Amino acid sequence: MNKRSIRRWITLCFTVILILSLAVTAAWNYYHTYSHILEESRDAAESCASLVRYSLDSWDIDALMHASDDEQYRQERSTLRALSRSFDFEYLYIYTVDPETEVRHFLFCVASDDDKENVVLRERYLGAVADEPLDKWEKAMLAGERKMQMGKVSTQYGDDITWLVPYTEGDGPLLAVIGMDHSIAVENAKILKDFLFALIPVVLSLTMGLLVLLILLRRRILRPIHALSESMSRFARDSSVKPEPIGIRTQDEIGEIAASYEKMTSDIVAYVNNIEALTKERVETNVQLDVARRIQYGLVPEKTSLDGDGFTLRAMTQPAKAVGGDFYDCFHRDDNKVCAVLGDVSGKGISAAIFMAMAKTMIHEKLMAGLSPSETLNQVNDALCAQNPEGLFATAFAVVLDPVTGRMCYANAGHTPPVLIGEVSRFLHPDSGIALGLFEDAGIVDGSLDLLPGEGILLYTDGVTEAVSPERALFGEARLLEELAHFPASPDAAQESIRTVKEAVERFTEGGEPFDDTAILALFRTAGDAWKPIPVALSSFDEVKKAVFAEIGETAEARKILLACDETLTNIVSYSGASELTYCCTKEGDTLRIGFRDNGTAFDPTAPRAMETDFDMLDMGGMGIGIVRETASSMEYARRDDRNVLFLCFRL
Amino acid sequence: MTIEKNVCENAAEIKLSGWLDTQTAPELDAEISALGEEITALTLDFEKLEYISSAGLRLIVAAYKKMNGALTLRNVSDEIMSVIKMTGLDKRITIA
Repeated sequence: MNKRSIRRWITLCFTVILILSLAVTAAWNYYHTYSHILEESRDAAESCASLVRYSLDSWDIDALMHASDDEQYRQERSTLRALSRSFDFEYLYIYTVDPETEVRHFLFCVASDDDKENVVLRERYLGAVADEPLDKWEKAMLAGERKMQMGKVSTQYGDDITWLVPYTEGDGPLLAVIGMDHSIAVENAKILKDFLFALIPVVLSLTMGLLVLLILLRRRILRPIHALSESMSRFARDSSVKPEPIGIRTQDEIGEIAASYEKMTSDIVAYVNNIEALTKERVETNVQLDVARRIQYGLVPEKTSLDGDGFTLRAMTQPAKAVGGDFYDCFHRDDNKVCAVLGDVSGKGISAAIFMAMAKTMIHEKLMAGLSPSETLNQVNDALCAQNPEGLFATAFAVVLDPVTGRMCYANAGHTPPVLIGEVSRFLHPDSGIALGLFEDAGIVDGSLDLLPGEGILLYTDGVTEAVSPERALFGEARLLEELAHFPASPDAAQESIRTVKEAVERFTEGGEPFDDTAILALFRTAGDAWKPIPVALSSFDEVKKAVFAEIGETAEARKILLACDETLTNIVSYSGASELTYCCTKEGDTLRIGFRDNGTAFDPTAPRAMETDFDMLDMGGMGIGIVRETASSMEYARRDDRNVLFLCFRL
Repeated sequence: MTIEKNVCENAAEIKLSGWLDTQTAPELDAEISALGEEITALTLDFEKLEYISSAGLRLIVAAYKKMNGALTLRNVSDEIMSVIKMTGLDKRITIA
């Protein structure tokens, strides 16, 4: 938009106002002047007519018609001419109208102007006849009209305002008509002169007034507004820089606007700078949290399940709005034990996420290497203490479960006490060491207990016990134990226990702050229903054979595996004196695990013994165990409940 | 398991096919025990043998002793060979 458009618009308005005012004034003036001039003309005509009538009274019109050009006539004419001049008439004339023939006969005709006088003397002499048809006023007069008539007439003598006055004696017939002409040109000139005289001061004063108004407008309003507008558009382009002061210090509304504008811009500049700083900070925080969240999600999936013979494990994290430091880990160790870890890192953000990653990775590696939970946590603590500039720390609970024997070894580094779920659930209160990363000597020790089939352990972070209800009450340990008190044993126990806790906490927090930022892990020992009883007889080998073929097909590899089974079974049947035998065959990933459980005399085929047997004694036996050891990838043996439990593992 | 026995003068040849495991070993044991005193050399043909367990190996050792070493194993597949090697029998027994 044009910057000067307001000024232009105002100027245009002023011009229109000026023209309209002038037009109205002119019309008004013209009307008045015209009426006035016409009034003057009428007055002159009436006065002149009464004087002429007075003269006519003393004349004998018939005699005059025949008097011709005598002295008296000339005197009368000059009198009439003086009269005509004094009333400013162009022409003054007297004529008779013959009612029969409707012919005019001129008695007198005088002109004020000398040149015109000569013309009329020649053309409108005494007795001159004018036989043009009578006009409407003359006809009206013949018919008895006695009032003065006015008309605008064009003749060979020019355009005139003509006044016609009937001359009679009393109520008698029309004797003569007195005509008086005012020249329209002269009258118009008079009207124009008067009109202009009246108009000029109006025009001048109006123009002057408008000019003064315009100048004032420009100085007091347009110029400040222009300056404001320029400043505003500069400010709109870059609102972070405070504009130069405009310098309007008037006390009027414009001054107020300018003052408000200056205050507003300085406020806006402050806000904008403030917002920019805040936004920058928030972006940085968000980037940090995003990175941390990626690290966390990469390391800790939302849901995990791990199943194996004799155990089932479920874990979940409730994704937190902000990044939490909860983590868990679970895996199958090569010695066929299950490891589970659950922990909570203090603090949030990238450093906490990295600390968590370090702690989780180190715990995993050390447990995997076969270290006990306490050895693992103590060593990880030492490593974390050695490189912990931010003073972060993590609580953690580590469990190693032998699903065959049910022996569970655990260690606690300052973590919330886990719940032991069974016939009668209870909190497990192990000797707790100090959280990881705080002190060199965390004093973490191992604890152990035997899980019966159907029993399990539930690890959780304080997000559960510290969940807050809308009434600001804590969920607490008592409530947690109550929820898990009579937990029915089932194959889905691990999944069910997590669901129970999660739903209980969700009910508890409903309507308040959402329940998040927590991790729960449940590890249950299952009854191991994969075990199948078989007769204590060599013929049972056929069933094992079927099972193995069913798992991996009739291959050379299957025959090799069956060789180990054959030898084991032969040993049990031939030498153990067992009366009861069960076996299981499961494939987990690339490993085939075959287990035998018998109630015979204790015999550990994994125990070290002299392998070199004399050839000559070979036909007496002793080759079987050697073949089994050669063939199996790994062997596990346990004596439990007065039974031999042997697992043969084959890497496929 | 099926056993096919051929006796020719002082030598005997036994062809085995199928699985030689703890359950089937007694059958072979019976066949070898049934060999008369006149038989002084034994050849075991394993061409069609799919499987052997320690029970089978024990019979091989027993036969080796009975023949005073004149025992030959023939057509031993790699799979069977690996089991024989596991126990070190290949060091003493002739494998053709």
